[in-house]
Amino acid sequence: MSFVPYALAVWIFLVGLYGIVTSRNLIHITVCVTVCQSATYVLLLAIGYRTKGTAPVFADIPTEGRRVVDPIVQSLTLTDIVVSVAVAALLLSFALKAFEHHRSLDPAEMELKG
Amino acid sequence: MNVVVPLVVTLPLLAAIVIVLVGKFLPNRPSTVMALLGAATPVVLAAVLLSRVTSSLYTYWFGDWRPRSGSYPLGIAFAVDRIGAGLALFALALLLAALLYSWKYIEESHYLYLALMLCFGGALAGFALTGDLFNLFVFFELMSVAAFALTAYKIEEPSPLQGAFNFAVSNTIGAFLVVFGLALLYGRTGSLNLAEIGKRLTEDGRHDGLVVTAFVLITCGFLVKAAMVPFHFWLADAHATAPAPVCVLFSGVMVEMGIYAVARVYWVVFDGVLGEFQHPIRDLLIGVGCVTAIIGAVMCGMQRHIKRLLAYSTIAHAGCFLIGIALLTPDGLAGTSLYVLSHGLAKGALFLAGGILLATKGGIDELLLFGRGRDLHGAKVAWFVAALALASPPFLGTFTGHALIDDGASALGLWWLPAVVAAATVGSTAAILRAGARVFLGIGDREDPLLSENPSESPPPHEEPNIRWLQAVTLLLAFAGLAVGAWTGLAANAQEAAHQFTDGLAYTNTVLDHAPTLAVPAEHWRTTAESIVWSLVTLFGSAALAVGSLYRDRLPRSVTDRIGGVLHPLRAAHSGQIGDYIAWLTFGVAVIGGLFAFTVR
Amino acid sequence: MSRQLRTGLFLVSALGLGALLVWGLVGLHSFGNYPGPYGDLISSLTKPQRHTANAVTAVVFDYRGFDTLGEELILFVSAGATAMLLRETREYDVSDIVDPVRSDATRAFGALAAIVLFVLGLNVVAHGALTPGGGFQGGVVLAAAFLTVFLAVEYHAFHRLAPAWFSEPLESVGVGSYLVYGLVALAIGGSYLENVLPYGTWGRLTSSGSIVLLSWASGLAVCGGFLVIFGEFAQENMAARHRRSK
Repeated sequence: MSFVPYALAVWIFLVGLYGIVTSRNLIHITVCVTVCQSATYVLLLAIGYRTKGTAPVFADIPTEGRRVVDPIVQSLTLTDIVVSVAVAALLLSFALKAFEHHRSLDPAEMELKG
Repeated sequence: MNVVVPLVVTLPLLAAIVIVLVGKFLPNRPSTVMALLGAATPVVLAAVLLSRVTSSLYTYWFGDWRPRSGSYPLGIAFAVDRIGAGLALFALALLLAALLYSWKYIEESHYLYLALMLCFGGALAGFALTGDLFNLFVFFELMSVAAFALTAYKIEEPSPLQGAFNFAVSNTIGAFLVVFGLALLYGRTGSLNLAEIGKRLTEDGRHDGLVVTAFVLITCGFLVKAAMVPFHFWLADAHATAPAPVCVLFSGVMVEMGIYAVARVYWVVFDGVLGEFQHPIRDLLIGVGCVTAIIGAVMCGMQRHIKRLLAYSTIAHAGCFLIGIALLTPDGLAGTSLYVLSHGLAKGALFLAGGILLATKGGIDELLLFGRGRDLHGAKVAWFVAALALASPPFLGTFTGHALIDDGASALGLWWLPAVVAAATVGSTAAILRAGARVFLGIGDREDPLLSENPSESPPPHEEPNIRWLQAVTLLLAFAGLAVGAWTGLAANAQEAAHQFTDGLAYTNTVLDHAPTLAVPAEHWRTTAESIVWSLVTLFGSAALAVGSLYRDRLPRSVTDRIGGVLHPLRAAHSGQIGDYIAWLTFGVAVIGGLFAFTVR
Repeated sequence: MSRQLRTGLFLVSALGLGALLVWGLVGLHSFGNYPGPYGDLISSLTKPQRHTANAVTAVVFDYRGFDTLGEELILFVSAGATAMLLRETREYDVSDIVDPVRSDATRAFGALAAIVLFVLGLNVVAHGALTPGGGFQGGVVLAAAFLTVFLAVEYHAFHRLAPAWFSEPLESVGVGSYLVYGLVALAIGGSYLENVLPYGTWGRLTSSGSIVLLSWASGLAVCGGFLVIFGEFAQENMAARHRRSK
């Protein structure tokens, strides 16, 4: 049971990658990238978790003696979320403009060959 | 010193913010002046930094979170050594050159472009100086997001969008791999500071699945940025569509930052605990480098779109960079540093010359531009000078870099490795010479059966570009790239810097405030006869292959069909489809991971 | 590559990648037993060192404040790039499109919700050092308040409240103040982004020194950034309606 959250992170990541590989729609790909990102959040937060621990906010609990979870991974996840938003906004803009030019969101219909 | 370090990174970023705030209301000139100041001042500061960081590492703790001796590092540190400072200086210098060129090259939405370039430059500098793993990731993402935006700059064209999209998705997945690895290391050691992680891993001593997987993930994540096969597909797409001055930064520093990160993380974090597995690590990374170098060179020879040609050339050279650091010796690392320096300048000059072609002749296709570059004398000279620098003639250009790597390889008994490096150099430089001969000299056949069909790019909206200015900047970069090889003091400096870089223990001690260990003085390298021989091989080989390639149309049909058939699967793999790219990425990580899993136990 | 070949290659590789990741993850401590010193040290030190009750906010704006600067710049770059991409080639001017939400109940409750969200957002940003929240979370809630106006009322109401000439400078000022604060700390002889303001009394709104200031700076930056992005996409939405009605 104690390995499930970690396995979950792996599963989410692989599912996101599968979505990107098999997708026919640029917006769908953008959302799949966000799904992959969620896998990293799950992993980070799972690492910092402490059973029966509470949030590391000490406004109404004493600083000593109370089990708290890790604040570092929470700050890393916060940063990660903002990065995810930034990338998603850019990807969606690309998709929008690509649609305007090609009238299609299917990556297979865009031409850019090597 | 206390002040210089944070300013090197924050000044370009501050300039970018100010430009966005006021740029809308001002005409182009003040924004450009601000941008040039915002780029030039950090160059000066970075030069000061490099001169002051000599034999010991300089550590800067943000927020004054310097750990009292023996206690835990709570904050973020910049750990500046010579190679890091040198890379930061190089990145900012190329940024300045690109901005000077852009002054007369890019017109529309000028102020946003300037802000993006400044953010990009600031991020590159921060990436080279940092000593914290998560901070490395943050600057990696800032660098990447600015790069994605710059790639899509000319939005009237359909092709920039797909190139930018593929670039964005590939590099973001690479960043996730880094975060996965970072999470594993954090779970094991409880720290994000590179020195602390290295120290704890070495003390713990276990080289189990977690350590190996973290190494694989972080390395592969950075190798995506470094455009190694099979993570390289995004690079040609991105370069083909980004404006020329942006490509200067991509090929000159951004890809190289990936290589730098692999080396930095290996030497500080993993060398202590995985040090006994140097052989499998070396072999595997050299393998990846060789495959990349060869595929890059082959694909390079089949391009007619000049920017894609140059992009594949970058991939070939990047493979050689990886080979250099994969030797896992200070000489290999020193060789790569010098190689990066000369390559960045020369490749930059080539891209800028391509930009001149695009702006003045309205095309970037080698065959369609046949002979039309004859009147662009500055660009012509720059092109061939830069190509010469890349061909590694004796004592000029990339010669010292190649020689250090070749000697390093021979010292390890890998006598065949210089041949691979030479072959990749010959293949890619020959293509560059061939393209230059067709466009600027008007010689060779007008058809070539082995070149791929490519959509051509239309010129940036621009009337009467100031060609003289553009050519001046281009010539400056080209000659600098050639001259760097002749600067003899640089090789000795690079070797000492490399010794410092590969001494993970000294790094850890200095950063965490214990007594620094004394650095081992380096033996200074002498030119060997062997390196001169290889240099002549690449020089004449490139010229000969270039001449031969110009007349490929005269080969009998059966031969070209046969060659085309063999190369077809390779070319088809570069399909422009993001699904293919990610499938290959997954394949690459799985294979590299599997190989490491079986050999590093 | 054909789709079947691509999917096949991926599935085989994914098995390998999954196995690799699992092999790595089994080396971790079992879930729920976080061992590492970093988090616990921070939790025990925020009160004595910075008089801050919320350890996460202390980490984000003080201990690892430099990362946060980088992250705000990422959002800044993305918002600027989105504006550049979408604005320059928007096909239609949207100022003449009127497409209000028709239901009065939705409009009324939407406006009410927007007001509540706005106040809540300000509250979250202000109390960043004391309760869960802070600049980022509060900034997003503030932006959501404006977005609620677009969704529940009308595009032009949203546009009147948060036009580009408001949200862009808001964002720049937010990111700029964060960066400039660091320079100020540098100028008075300290380290970049050092917490040099008085730490105040534990549990009060004015505790934690510069953490509160940086929390507000990032709240403004995030709100501004999201408003720029939302604004551009909302305009694209309206332009699409224009296309459809023609």
